[in-house]
Amino acid sequence: MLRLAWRNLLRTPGRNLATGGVVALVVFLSLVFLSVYAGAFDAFFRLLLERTGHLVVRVESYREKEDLEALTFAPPALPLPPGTQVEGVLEGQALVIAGERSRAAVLTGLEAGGLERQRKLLKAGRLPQASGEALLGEALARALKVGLGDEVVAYAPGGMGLGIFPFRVVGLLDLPETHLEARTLVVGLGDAQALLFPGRVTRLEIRLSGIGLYDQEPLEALKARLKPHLEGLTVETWLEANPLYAALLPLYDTVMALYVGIFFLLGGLILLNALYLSLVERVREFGLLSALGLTGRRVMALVFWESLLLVGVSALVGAGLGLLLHLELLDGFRLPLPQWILEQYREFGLPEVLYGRLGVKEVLLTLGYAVGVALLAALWPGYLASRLEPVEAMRYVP
Amino acid sequence: MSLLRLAWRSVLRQRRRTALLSLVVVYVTVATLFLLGFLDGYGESLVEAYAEYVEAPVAVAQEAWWADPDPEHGLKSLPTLAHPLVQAVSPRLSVYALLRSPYRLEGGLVLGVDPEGEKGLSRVPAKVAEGRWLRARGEVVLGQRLAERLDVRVGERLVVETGKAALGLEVVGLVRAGVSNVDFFGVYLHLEDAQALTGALATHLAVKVPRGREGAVAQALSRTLPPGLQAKGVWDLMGPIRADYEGSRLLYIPLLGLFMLLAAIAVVSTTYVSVRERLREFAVAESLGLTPWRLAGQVALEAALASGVGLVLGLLLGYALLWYTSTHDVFGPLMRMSVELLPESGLSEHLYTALRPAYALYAAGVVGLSALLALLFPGRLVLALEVPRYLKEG
Repeated sequence: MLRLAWRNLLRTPGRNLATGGVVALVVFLSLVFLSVYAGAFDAFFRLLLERTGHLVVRVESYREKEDLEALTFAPPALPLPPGTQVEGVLEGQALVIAGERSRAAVLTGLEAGGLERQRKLLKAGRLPQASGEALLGEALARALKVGLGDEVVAYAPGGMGLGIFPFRVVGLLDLPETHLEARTLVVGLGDAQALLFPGRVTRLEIRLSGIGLYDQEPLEALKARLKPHLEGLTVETWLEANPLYAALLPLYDTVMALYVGIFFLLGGLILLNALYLSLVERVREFGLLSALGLTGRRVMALVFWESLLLVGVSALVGAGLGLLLHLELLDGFRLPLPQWILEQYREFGLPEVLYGRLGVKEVLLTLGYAVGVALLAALWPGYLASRLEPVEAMRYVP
Repeated sequence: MSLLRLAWRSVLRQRRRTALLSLVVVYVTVATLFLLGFLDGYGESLVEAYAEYVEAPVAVAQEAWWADPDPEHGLKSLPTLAHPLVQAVSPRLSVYALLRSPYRLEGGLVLGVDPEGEKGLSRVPAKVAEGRWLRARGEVVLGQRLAERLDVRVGERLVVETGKAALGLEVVGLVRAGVSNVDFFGVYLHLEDAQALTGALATHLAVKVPRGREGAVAQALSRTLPPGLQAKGVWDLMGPIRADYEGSRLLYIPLLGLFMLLAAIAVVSTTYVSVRERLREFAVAESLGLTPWRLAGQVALEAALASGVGLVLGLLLGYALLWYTSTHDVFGPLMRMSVELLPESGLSEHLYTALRPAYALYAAGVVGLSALLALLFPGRLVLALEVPRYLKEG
């Protein structure tokens, strides 16, 4: 049966090449699309993780609390596994004043480790090394008309600290999002505490090494270990701390399946046409086969085999080409869009260079669609072929 | 019998084949209409959000202010705008400030407006969900989500500080516009209060012009404005979200082209089989005096008619779908999620697809493409037909 099906496919090479080409193209496009989309998704979430830390400790019910006093806490000692980094962060709103100009900004006080992580964003100057030194977002510095070495004053009333603090600008930060860059003032944790709240932090960021991007199990385990040591505090994984983004994750698979389904529906309809044409061209032949004793089920199986073979070979070619391109995407790629658009995409947290990702799940989804389409498209032509009356079929004139 | 009737009869002879073929064209037509309607609807929702809520259809300011939007580059005097399409003009003064409620601090961009002038220009005054719009000095209207963050309610006081001056204002209204920038960051106070905070007259003029004419009016105004002033249309006032719209068009429209090409290939494939089955019929027709090119034309016409059937059905279905999505807030949940994720984007909570007759013309591309490919491939079979051979075979 398989050999017969294969021979039948080779009898009309032109049409089957065109149909197979469509299926291969659909498989190829699906894999490339999935790789690019997953790459973009990962970049977006990696940035979020980098900014949040794997686990975050804050005061309990912090979302309902209002004033800085209720939102800050003295950092407790935590039993953390070796290699884990914990950093205290104090964050508050401030008005940054430079001469005649002023801008509202988010003042972030970081420990040495946190400041060190700003190094890759440093566009000019250096990291703060002493009290009274600050990093400014480049856009904020531009708006305030200040540069390296200039002085700015941070005014942040309402806390238990000094409420006003002068800083010398020692470095300028280049953040992907201009709206954040225009509101970023980073200082040492000690200075932030002197300004806002002595001895306190708004959150502790815990970073672990060797954890996969979406690997939540080790985070949940550490969370459970930390809970008894956090009186009046709460610990959240980075996804829990960003519930809106977390809500996107379960949608990912559905959206992907839908997108790929749009391609495959077209491929399936074209395949259905090709199988039907193949049937009408061979009505007399099917009649003869039936007359020679081939049962309806076996005739139907023949059509199914032809469909599966055509789609199988094409899907393999498409998947091979798709995986080859994916290997290129793995090393990094830019979306094929004008530079100005890519630069603007940075404003949404999407870097210019993305890295493709294709898991077993994505490949199986694509191949599953291919097999499904092959079976569904063969259903009706197969049924028609199996119901042909031998005598009528042999007399058939198109 | 005319060529058209002949072609139509041939198409109808194989009803089942034509129906199957039509499915492909219907699918591609619906996809084309829907995607074009969605992209245009997205663009229109952005224009509406920025023209009616976040910015203005056209804004006029000093060139220096466009480069460095600080009140020090504000307007020294209010220019007269002489253009027949200008429907309303109102001065605005945008100021960076710190907002202090009894509990919280928030930084933001405060917009000083003429309360009455703003009513003729922006929809924000009409979107006050609680309290009322500005009437006099000493009042402030806030975006609802900003008010929640600041934990202030109507009737409570809010301090606006700029570093040089501060004002205690009464919250008189909360706006719920369904546009992210307004609800999350909107702060509106009386123009004279903003002037008192900064010492500037106004930073820019907001100008109302008819929809779709923003760019042209901005260009025309820029030519007649005094030196140093520049007008910008709404597309130039949009933030990075414009790139998302433009990027989507650049990615999806070629994909539509590919869909159409694949549908045309399916049509031609069917036409090819149909022509091969009827080579003897074509030979007879040629022997009766029809030229090969006329017969090839008939083949192309058959392909166009076969895909045309699908096109008509696809247009009916596609426009029905577009009508539904242009009158029902189907994308509301998706947009509301996007607004929460990207509050700075200026996205609207609602997106209705556009519905334009021109989409039918674009979708009809599949018919033209099918006819062209049919002329090139099955048409060639007819052109290379050996008439005596096929006549003898009979």
